[in-house]
Amino acid sequence: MAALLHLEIGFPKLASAGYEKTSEATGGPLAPGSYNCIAWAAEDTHHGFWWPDQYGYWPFWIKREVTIPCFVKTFRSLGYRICGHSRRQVLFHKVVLYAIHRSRNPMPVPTSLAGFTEWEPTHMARQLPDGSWTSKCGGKEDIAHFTLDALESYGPRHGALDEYGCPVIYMRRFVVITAVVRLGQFLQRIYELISDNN
Amino acid sequence: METAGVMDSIDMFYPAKRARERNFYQHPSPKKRYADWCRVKAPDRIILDSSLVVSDVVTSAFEHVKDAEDVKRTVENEFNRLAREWSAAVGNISSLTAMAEHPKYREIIDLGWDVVPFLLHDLQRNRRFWFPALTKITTIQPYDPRDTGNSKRMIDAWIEWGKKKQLI
Repeated sequence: MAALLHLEIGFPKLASAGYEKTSEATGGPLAPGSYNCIAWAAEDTHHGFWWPDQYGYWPFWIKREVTIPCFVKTFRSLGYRICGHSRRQVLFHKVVLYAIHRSRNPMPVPTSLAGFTEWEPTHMARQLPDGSWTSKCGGKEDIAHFTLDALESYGPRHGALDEYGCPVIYMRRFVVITAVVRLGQFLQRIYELISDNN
Repeated sequence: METAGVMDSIDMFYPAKRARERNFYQHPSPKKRYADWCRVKAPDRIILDSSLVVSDVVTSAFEHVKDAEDVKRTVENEFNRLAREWSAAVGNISSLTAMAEHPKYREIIDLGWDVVPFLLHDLQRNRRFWFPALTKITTIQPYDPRDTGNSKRMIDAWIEWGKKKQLI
């Protein structure tokens, strides 16, 4: 497998932690068929870039705020609940939220949601059945990485604001709930296709 | 002598007529007087004399147009450079907020209204993420708030607005 140098430069631990490319790059936020890590974690790649500001897609039933509690609330509405670790658990699917402190330096992770006021959400990854993780880095390729610290990065290094910080919140969803949510997403997709055609 | 005597006698009998003739032949022509007035009284005006050809007059009159073309070309080059650097820098970023806060993106916004046609053109052709820059510069949102997050409709609304304003 050819090394993805643009990712290895951005994430210093990625090469040593090990990763595999699983899809081609999709392009920027407005490119047709493009999606980002949040959409990838939510398993909804039809709506483009998920982001809770005034330009990205975000589920309409959640108030848009670029905060950790907003992300947690959104994924709670998709059936996930906060859990304490990233280890694989039978009958559960997991996602992890990365965030970085505003100082861009490594900081102790708060133990409650109220303590995240100075933290910015940056990235999400989804656990695969074998216990490894899958991530979409912006508009670049999907990768499977074997550890979560593979994408840890702090800055500012290049002045690019592309640091992911570290994993701060783990969430899990019972497999039956996953099936129900996927059915809901499928029905939503059908509804949107019909309304677009009309 | 006789002639002079005759002329003197005319002057003697018709003094006003003679004075008018003398003034007429001795004074400079109106064209020359105007040229003198231009040189002395109004040096900043364009002097219409034989040394100034028509093409120079036209060139000087349209100098501001030439300047505008230069400014446009400079803004275009600057925009292309910044857009290329910004695209290369934000490839790994999933956060739309971080993309719009990138220093190169802010530099594009600082180019002001002159860059709007290029933003719209690039949005139409390359579909790069120029919504925050357009909103920041123009202070408007041409799309329906219900279309927030629907990138296709947002792009269409911006392009339509640009065409209406004759920017693209």
